[in-house]
Amino acid sequence: MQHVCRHPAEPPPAHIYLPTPATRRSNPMDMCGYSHCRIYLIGSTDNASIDLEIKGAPNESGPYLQELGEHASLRGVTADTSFVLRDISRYLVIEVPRLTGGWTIWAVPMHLSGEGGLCRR
Amino acid sequence: MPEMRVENIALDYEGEWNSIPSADASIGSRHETNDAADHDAAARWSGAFRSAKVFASTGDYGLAEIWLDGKRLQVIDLYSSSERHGVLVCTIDNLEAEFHTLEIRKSGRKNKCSSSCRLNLDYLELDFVKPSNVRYRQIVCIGDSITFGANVEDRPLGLYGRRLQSMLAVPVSVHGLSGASIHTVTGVLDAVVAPRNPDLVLWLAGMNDERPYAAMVQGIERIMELMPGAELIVSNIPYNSHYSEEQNQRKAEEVAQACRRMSVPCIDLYGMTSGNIRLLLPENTVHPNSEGHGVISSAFYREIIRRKYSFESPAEPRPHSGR
Repeated sequence: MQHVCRHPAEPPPAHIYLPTPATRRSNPMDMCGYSHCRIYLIGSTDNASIDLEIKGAPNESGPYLQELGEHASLRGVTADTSFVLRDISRYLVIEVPRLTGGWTIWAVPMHLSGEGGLCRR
Repeated sequence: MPEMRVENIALDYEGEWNSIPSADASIGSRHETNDAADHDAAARWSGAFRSAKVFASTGDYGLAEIWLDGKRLQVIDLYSSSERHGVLVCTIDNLEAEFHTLEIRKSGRKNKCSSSCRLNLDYLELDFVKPSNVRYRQIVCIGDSITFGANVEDRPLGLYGRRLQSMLAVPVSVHGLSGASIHTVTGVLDAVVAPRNPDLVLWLAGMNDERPYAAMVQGIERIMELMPGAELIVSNIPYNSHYSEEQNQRKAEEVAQACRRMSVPCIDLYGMTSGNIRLLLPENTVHPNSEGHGVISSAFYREIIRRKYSFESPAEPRPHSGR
């Protein structure tokens, strides 16, 4: 089975995760061929609040360790926000230890200019 | 390639079979024929595999015929002095790694010690290989918390999408949005599904919509607009104990209606799983567990194979009893 990631000029294949009290850990998100990722946190209610941990692993089954950078672990987010994770792992999972209200979390892989990721699996 | 289980409720049936609930069956039910000395009943599975095992009950049962690709391979005596369930009654090895049709047929005959010609089927185990007619590059599964696997302990490996990846040997990307309506899922198709350039989209839909018809039509139109070259197979909801029977039937039927209007194939997962609460454990709400995802993967696989090998399954009478 071989798959080649798409050209960086094409739209990035986004991941979306809607955490609920019963689903506090996302499924693994394959960031094949990308070195950066923009995370969007969008709350859907006035009193929404969320803590999250972003973990990464070189293979899907892990073990997953906290990603690098200040945004890999966030506490008490109450407003819509976004940030960029750099030097990301091949696979990411998002864990939500605390959650109030509804949240939509996007993880959108990014290329920096000049990068042209090619990933075969 | 993996050896995977195909539950009795995922098989095609011909003739009279009843779904018999049983605590010690693989997913809480088996399929059983009547007692009569006729040979009008058959269970069938088509796919690409190189070995097959048949698990059934033995006891006061008749003789079963095992057919492969239209030829009778063997006759199995399912009589035993005491009733036993989930017994490996037949193994077929060293098959050509290609498409086969396996049939378990009622012979209408029995061991002289048995009082019945009936058969009782639990499940199959198949060693799947890549089907040569299935040439997809990328499959995407989209849906709600069922597709996410909210009640699946062994995520992501236990998800129906990941099982299909193993069964078909095609990359499958899984995107389930917990609690999302069809409208919400439709709203992310451009960012989540289209950039993956799938040639097949699988959409399990309807649990979070009271009246899914209009939203489903719009969702299908959106897929056709964004990915005109992609095939689409939809499934309605699995059985669940959270909503009333009336609510569930409306959800299931309206998804099917929308698919008929848009000429898109729709799997009747609700009919296939009707009444089976074992698939919802331990959560016991709307989310199938890992066994349930096994059934969903078999249902999608069956539809994919049916389309790629251009055959029709027999009418599915599926008389359900005793639930």
